[in-house]
Parts: sequence; C-alpha cells; structure tokens
Amino acid sequence: MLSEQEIQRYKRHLLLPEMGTEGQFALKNARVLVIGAGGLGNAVLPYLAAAGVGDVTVVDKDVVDISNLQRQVLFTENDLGKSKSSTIVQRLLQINSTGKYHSVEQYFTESNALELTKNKDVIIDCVDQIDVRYLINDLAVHHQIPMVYGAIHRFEGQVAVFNYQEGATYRCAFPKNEYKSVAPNCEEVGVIGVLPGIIGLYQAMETIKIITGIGTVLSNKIMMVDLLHNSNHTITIEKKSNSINTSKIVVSSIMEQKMENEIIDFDASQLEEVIENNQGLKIIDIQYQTNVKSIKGVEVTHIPVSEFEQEMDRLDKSQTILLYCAHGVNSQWATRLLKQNDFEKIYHLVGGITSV
Amino acid sequence: MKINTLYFGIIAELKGLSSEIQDYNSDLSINQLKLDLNTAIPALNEINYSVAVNQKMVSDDVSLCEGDEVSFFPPFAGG
Repeated sequence: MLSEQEIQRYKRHLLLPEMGTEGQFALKNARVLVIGAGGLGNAVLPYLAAAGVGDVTVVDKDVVDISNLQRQVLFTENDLGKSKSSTIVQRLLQINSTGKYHSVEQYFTESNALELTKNKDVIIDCVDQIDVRYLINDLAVHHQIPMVYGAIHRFEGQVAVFNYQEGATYRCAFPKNEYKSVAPNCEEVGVIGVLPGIIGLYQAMETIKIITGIGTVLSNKIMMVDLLHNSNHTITIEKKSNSINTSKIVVSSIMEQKMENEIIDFDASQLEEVIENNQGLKIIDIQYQTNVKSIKGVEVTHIPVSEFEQEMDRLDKSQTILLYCAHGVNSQWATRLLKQNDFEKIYHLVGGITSV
Repeated sequence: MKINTLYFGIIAELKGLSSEIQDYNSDLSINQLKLDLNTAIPALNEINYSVAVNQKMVSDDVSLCEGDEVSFFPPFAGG
C-alpha cells in the first residue's frame, strides 16, 4: 500500500475519485519503457515521475546538443555533450526519488529490442524515425502490451494508443509499403518547440489512463493536432486481422536473419577501429551531396540514396560493407535493404558522418 | 460533386495548403483522388500515406459521395 509520505505527495491525485489509492498504487507498480529522450521524452518523463510511476526505463544513445535546448526543456546548458538518457534519469530522481529509473545509452535496434521490451507494461514511442516505430509496434504486439504513439512535424502532431487490448496497431494505421521509402530523410525538419511538449503530455496522460484504467483510451483512433490553426482531427482506424500475425513473423524473422547475415551498428568513436580491422571493406557514402563531409584517407564510393536501390545490384554480396549518410537515417534504411538482399556483413555508422 | 479534402504533415507542406473544396464528376474513388494528388505532387509517389473518409480510415477502392470529407495523412517521423 501507500506510505504516509506517499499519501502526502500524491494528495491531489488521491482526491480524484477516479484515481484514488487504487490508481496511485497501480502507478507505483507500473513498469514503463520510454524509447527516445528527445522532445517527446522530455515532456513525457517528468510527468510520469511526478505522477509516481514506479519503474521507468529511458532508452537513447544521443547526447545533448545546443540545438536541442529550444524544446528539450529538462536539459540545461551545463548538460551539453552529456548522455540524454542518463541526464534525464538524474533529473527524474530530483523530481521524485521514490521511483526506480534506468537509463540505457543505446539506440533501440533489432539487436536489443526483444531484451529491452521484456517485463514492461507500456511502451512509449518518443523516437524520431519511422522504421524504429514499426520495430516498437512489432515488439508491443509480440509482448501484447500497448504502444503509446506520439509524433511531430513542424506545427502538427499525432497521438494514438496502438495495440491496446488487441486494438489497432501502428501497421493498421500506416501499412508498410516495402516499395516506398518510409520517408528516410536525413535533412532536418523545423519544429516549433512547444509542439513536443503538448504531444508528449498527451502521451503521458494516455499512459496514466492505461495504467490506472480510468477514462477512455485513444485506441483504434489517431488524433492529429495542428497548433498553428488550433485544429484537432481524430480518425478512426480499424484493426486489420492479419496485422498481429504479420508482426509476430517480423519479430521472429529478426532473430532468424541475425543468424544468416549481420548488421553491426557502431558510432563515430569506433569508426577508425572498424576500418582498421576490416581489410577489403567497401565504404559507401549515400548522402545526396557528398564531399560535404567524408572520411579522410580512405577510398569511399558515393551512391546517392535516390539511386541506391538500383545501384545495389552491382555490389558484391560477400564483401563487407560500411554504410553512412549525413545523420544515420537514410543509411539505416539502406542497411536494412542490403540485409533483405542477403548481403553478408554490413557495418552501419549510427549518427551519420556529421557525428564524426 | 463537391469533396472537402484535408492534408496533413508533409502532404500539406508540399501542397501548400491544409484544406480545399474541389468539384468532381461522380464515380470518384479514393484511388483516383490519390492518382490525381500524386500526379500533381510527384514527390508523394515516394511517400507512404493513409486516407480517411469522414474521419474513418478507408481502403483505396472506396467510392466517394457528395459532401464527403477526405483526409490524406502520412505518419509523422519527428520526436
């Protein structure tokens, strides 16, 4: 039950008949996984900690950059260059020291996805890549837990709860078309700083509703909010009967593919080591425009991302390949494409050449 | 017949507006609307997006009626 100190701390929650001691106790026992400690994560996390969510894991490998401070309000100028996930965990402990917070300084990838999503009640999707959102969805389906989705674009946001009580999934709202790119765009898009705050707080509220069982969860729907014109548009999504099976296959095929061919994610600090230890490595730059920044002293082949799919056939599948782009988004897409096409060993520079 | 179309995210950005009312002949399907939109904005051929009629997501073969509201919405990437 709740301690005397907890009763004092959560007094305003306990005054809500919908919430009561039972709801507060549910929050205390909840295990939540927050993937991404950027704009959305910065809004979701302090409110979850303040609300008394007992066990929170934050996954993000990024470090704080000065351009983050415009919207990622938990970070200060003193945090520049520090790990986002561990900095946030420090902040959460200051907000509410009774919770357990774990930081995982990794990107959420096919290699760690299964392990990170084990024994969780809710996954909150705060990432900035569509490919990763499909991966989160598939793991949510695999573990039969809800995925609280938030996504932003300039002045607009999307919120939804997928896979809630066997409801519609991310793949029902956005069926993946293998022949179309999932907008793998390395170019940075502008965003109004307030937007991730508002969308993230919708995610926090949906999470609290799921855990405590109060209200109506935003399931089988996607809500779109336009802050520039104050419009709010909610679309009903139907559960597609085959989406769960498809997702399960995807998760198990991830594990099978691991045995056959290998993607090795590495970051800027390991670049030299990777090049040194792999003789005959083919290094491919898939930036739209190259020479902006490339790797000095080694031979680099340039294949712009727009031509990558056609040019891929000319590459030797048995040769070890190192792929990079500007920020690591397009290259992640290209890496998966190579993997699907049976290339044996692919090194992928996470964070792109700009992080070198 | 008049159709009210709403655009979201990158589609609104590429289109340069977030909504418009257009006049069409009858026998109009989502497929045809998408074809028209992608022809007007070729970049959309590369992007995966979903469509809703009267705030309910539908498949491409659905036919439209006078006064329908059609929403074109892509998944947003940012976080």
